[in-house]
Amino acid sequence: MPARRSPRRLPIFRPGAGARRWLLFFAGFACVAAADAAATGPGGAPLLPGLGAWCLALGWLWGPAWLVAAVGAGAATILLGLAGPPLAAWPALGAFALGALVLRMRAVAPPVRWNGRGVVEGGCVATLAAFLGALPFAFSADTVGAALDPVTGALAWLYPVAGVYRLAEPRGFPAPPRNRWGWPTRAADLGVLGLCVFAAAALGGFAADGGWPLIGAALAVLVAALNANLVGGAAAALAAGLAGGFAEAGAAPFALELGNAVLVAVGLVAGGFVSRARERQEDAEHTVGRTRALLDSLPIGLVEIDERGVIVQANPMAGAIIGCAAEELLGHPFERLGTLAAREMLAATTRAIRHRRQPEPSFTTEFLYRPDRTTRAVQVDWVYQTPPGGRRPLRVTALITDVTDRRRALKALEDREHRLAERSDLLRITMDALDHGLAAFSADDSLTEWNARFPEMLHLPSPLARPGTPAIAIFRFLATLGAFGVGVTEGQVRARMDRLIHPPNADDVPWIGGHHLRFSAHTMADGGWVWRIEDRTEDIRLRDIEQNRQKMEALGQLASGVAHELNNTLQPIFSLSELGLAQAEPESLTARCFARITDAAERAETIVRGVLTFARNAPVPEADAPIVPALFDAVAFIRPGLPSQVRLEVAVDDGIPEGATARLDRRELGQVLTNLVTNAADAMDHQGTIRIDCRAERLRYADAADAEDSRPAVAVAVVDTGKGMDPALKHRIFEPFFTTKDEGHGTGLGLAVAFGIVRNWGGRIDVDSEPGLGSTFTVWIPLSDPEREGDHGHDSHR
Amino acid sequence: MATILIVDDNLLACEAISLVLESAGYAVRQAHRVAEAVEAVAKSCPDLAIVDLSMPDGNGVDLIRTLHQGHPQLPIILYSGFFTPEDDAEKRANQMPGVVAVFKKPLRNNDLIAAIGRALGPAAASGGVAPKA
Repeated sequence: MPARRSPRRLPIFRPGAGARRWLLFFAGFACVAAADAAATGPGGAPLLPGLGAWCLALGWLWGPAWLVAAVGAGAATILLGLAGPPLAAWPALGAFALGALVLRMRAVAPPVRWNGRGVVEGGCVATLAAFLGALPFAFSADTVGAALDPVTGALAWLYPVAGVYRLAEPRGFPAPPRNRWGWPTRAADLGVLGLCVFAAAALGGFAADGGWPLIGAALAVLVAALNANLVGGAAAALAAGLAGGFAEAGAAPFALELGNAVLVAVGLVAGGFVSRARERQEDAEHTVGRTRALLDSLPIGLVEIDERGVIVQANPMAGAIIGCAAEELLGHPFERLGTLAAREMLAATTRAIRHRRQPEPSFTTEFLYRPDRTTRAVQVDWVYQTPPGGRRPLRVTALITDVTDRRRALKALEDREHRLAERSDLLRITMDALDHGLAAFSADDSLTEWNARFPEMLHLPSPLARPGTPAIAIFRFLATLGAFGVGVTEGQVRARMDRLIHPPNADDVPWIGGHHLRFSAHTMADGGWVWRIEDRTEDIRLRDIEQNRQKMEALGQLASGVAHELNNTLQPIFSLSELGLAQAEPESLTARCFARITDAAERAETIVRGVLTFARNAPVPEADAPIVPALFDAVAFIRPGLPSQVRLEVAVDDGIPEGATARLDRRELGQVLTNLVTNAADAMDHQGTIRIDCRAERLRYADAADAEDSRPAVAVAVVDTGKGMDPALKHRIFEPFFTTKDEGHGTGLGLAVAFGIVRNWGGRIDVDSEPGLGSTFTVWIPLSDPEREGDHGHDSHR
Repeated sequence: MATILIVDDNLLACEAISLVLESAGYAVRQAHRVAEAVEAVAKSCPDLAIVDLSMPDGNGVDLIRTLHQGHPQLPIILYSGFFTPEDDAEKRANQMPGVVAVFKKPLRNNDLIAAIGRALGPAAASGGVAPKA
């Protein structure tokens, strides 16, 4: 099948060229009228005006070709009339017309073409019409024919007038309602139509001399129009014509009148069909035009491929995508459009089309080759035109969408999402790596983001650590944990929430489990806020240790100074009391007095010695002592002195290195342990079990920056189950002369002396205690480490 | 009769030890400052000096060094309130030239007289009160 091409037409016959059509109409009419006038002459029959008008009307309705044919037929009739007896020509004309009719009927409702065949067909039909119109004339006398003129004239004028109406009819969207014949159904439109019909009748009637038939015919056509039924209208016109004919002529042969009436009816019916066909064609052309405009304006490229794989049609967008004018694409094999990589895929499809196989229903994206050597990413979808009857597709339409920009945008979007995800991950990792608890809340106080430490520090269960959890719910939970005390009300919870979210100053808040937390909040631009929780427990512990160390140092300096002065003062007391005792009579009162003075001075000397032990900076022993045997020796020394109801258990952990040594004095170790165990026995009211746990542990100094700054040590813990201590007591327990024992039961120097000794070792002593749960005094004895000897700055000032 | 110089800024202690030594039969001279001590040694040539470690106008250690340089034969007993019982007094004494004994305050009469006796010999004292055992 050849490519569908739009037929070439003269510009003047394009649809919508109304003014030109009218020009043509009047030109044709003028020709016919002139021919009629020339043919009739003084005695001529008035048939020709009617005949010419008929031809003209048919031609106008059936298209420009028919119009020309009608003019040609009118001219032929005139020539025949001029030639003399017309009857001889009619059979030949009739045969020609019949043949044309057969030709016409063979082509089922195709659009009329401005081509040779169309002209021949139009001429044939026009000739048939002329023959039928002339038939009654052939059988009648001149006078009888004249009597029929009003009817035929009126009917002949009907179509031109109706044409006027159709040009003047209201247009617009939506179109006015019509019946299935294309006639208007609204009363106003029908009224206009009736006026047109009457005008036609008047024109036809006044051209002749009839009165009655004119009115009857007009009414009949009006009725037909009102009934929207041309066949009914034709019947009415037939009756009117008959009546008019009888009334007018009376003497006219009945057969003639009948023939004329039949002619009128046939003309009406044929006109109706023709009109319908004409409208269909116009609609179809209009639809095609609109569709074409639509396709041309589509942002999708359309390429139609025939069964050889050759492009037979392309819209402008297809050309724009491929990079050339749409017309340039025609006749090229479709696969040539693809890049080398894509060509095989396209070729596979065109091969499938060539072999009438069913190819893939849809197609993936491909790159098309462009003359400027660039490539475009396109998506090709296939539409198969399957003719009715289920035959295999003959043609394929490729829908080509340029997705280059879309892809680029998609890629950019993906990249941005990727980067966003990366940054989000980084933020998440950073947040989780923080030692602080962080939580973000939206402006309506609901949880949006948080790090791992946040629920951990607040002991939040997982149902609360969810996006959208209201802040107040978290605080209610904390209240149930007892974070705000016992039996707090909702109002108190809210007040605490406000204070913890917006703390007036950076205070460390005592928290559950002996922790100290510091809260702060930062408001964000959108009204949300970030809550920061810092665990200050370790900082506070280190700070306390440092404060304690400073306090002990100050106390030591004070005690040292006092002890020195006291020793100086004790010197004369000793010297003179002993001298006095030596001079006095033995057993005399004087001798006893000097002896008591000496005793008192000795007691004072003991106290001063203890104070100096606490305060002094004694030189470190030069030799290392094996730590574990020294411990056992010390315990063996202590054990006999303990009350009988006190048991002493010693446990040495395996983790202590074999043969570990420490730079210490065995007597001092004995003194430290004695002081600790004696205190423990006192705290337990001299009954129960005291445990001494020895284990390997790293010694970390209070002011150490991190865990690296520590050294191997043995931790000796003296654990009792006694009364225990509150924190205030704990803070002062190592101060000299601080004692909880009754007057006369201790000097308050035992722990101070132990503190001083351990400090001189470079070790640490600390206490962990809860009221009622007993106390644990732990002594960290640093192990000797020849490699590190001398490079540890802590030795010098501890 | 041997003469003993006591150098101590603490007047009470100085006086008390003087009484003890006089009762033991020694002649005693007192000095309360470094300068006095140097002058006293130069003037009276004591047989023994008892020196406190801390002085208002100088260090006892420097004093001992000065005395020893001027009088290498002069035995010196050092005593101080800064010492504690656990200190290795003997070692300190050995480290200083001329020091024959080291005591911490408060020192006992018997220990002091025994140390003087070791340094000067038993015949050095005369007419003193014998200390009780």
